[in-house]
Amino acid sequence: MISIQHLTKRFGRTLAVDDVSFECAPGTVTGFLGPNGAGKSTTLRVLAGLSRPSDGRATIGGVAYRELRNPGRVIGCMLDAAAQHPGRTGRETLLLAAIATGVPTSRVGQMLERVGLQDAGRRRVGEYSLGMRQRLGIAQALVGDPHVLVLDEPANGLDPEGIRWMRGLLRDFADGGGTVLLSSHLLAEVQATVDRLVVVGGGRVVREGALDDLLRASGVVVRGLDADGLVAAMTAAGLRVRRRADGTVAIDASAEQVGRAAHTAGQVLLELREDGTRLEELFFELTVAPQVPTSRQAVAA
Amino acid sequence: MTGGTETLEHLDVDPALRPLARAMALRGPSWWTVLRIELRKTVDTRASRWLLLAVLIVAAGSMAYEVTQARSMVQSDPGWVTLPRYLDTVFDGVMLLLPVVGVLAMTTEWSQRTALSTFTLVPRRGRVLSAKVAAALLVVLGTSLVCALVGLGGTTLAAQVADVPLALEGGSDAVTAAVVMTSLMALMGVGLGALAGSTSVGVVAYFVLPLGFSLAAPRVLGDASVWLDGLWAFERVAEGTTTSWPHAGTALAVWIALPVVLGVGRCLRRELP
Repeated sequence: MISIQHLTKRFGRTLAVDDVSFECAPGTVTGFLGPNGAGKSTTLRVLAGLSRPSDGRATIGGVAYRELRNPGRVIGCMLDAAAQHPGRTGRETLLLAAIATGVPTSRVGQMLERVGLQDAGRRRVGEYSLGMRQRLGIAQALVGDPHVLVLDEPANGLDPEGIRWMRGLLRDFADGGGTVLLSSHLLAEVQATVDRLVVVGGGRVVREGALDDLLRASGVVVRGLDADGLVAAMTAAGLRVRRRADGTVAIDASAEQVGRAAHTAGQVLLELREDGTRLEELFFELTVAPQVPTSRQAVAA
Repeated sequence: MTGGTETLEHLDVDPALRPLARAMALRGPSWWTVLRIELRKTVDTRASRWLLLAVLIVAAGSMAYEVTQARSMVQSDPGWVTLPRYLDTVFDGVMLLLPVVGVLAMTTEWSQRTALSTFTLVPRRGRVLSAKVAAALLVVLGTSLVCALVGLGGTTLAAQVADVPLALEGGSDAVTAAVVMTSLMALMGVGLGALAGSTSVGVVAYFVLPLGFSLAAPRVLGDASVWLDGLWAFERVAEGTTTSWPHAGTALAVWIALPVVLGVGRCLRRELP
């Protein structure tokens, strides 16, 4: 549905997006994850036809955004929740979008209700909190009854209850056959919301795949009687090893590979577990050092 | 208006994608729909409403003052109370403020960053920008006509207060001249606003540049300044008293055509904030 193909965007000498490719399928929620300045917003702006790519292309259903006749009916975008006129009411903001997309104006009230702003519709956006602006932005994206949703940092400013609400809304949208792409710089914000992750750092895709696969691929943690011997055994088996402060060893391998290597070297293991909680750390590593060669290998979806 | 879907049944589309294909075939907003949106935007925020309200307050205030002065003015000049004179008074203030809608039309979306959603919903920027210019001119026209009615009311009232006959001759010419002048000023505002790129810089440029030039140019350029004096040219054109179209045309080109073309060209390509 969404297809980003070899997208590159330069601003002067700065390479903001460097050969980024990924796809989002109907029925899925994709998290576009990376630290600030990783190129997420630039990619989304190119996708929304607001910025021309230096190279490559971005399409929705095979069509470039600018070629869409009535884009608001196909793809709803919220590129910056703060970019609303503070002197306009929430209702009026949605009404302008309804007129532009040609949907009945009755959708304005429905969308205000859907995002929980029915009592704030007549207030000016300047009086809204950031969380309320996020809700208004999502409502604005939904007004045209689109098939695709693209949200830039939608969880920003939402409280935990708001994040849970958004999770439900996006899940419903995807379950109805919609395609969702949302960006975030905080994994914890979107971890429970997304099915797939595209992780970017320094303008490049550093890891991509189903959330479950990425969790599984984040390796195992081992504790042994003899830490030095264990590290030597794993290194001898050709596995990537990293000692951790608590005396355990993190290994980029499956539990079976580690078990066999330990057995071969006669090392006694006290603990061997899949490191499912390590995704945040993985995300941090990936994005802090995006240029490591192995990071280009995408995890099979 | 949007609406009609085209029949897609003949297309070989994956059934799961058929709703999407249908949505893709929907017509986008016509230019008139975009104009309707842009007209709404000229009155749907507090700032824009206040500007128009200020214009009407200035018009009504100037008339109220003139009505109180009518009796004493008539004593020294029995023919004082005429519609053209009162319209001039009304539009002195109106002409100063009202054309700012031209500046705002080209800058608000960038200064408030709403350009992001506007151009996402209507990616054809030329369509949006031309509708903005048309909306600004319509607002100028509509507000000018309301101000003209205020002038007519003021004249009628003043004639009654001063007990002189109502003198309406030349009124329509005065209204036409005022509307043309205000529209030219608004178009200049469009150009300067689009070039400036932000509301604050645009408004300052609109107030300072043409007036500053009109004051400074004769001293620097001497007689040659008439080629470039925008305000002078607008006035001659509006009053229909242009004696030299080459002079006025050059000034109009420099203060309207050039900034509008360069400014709108800039807005068409500008990266969004």
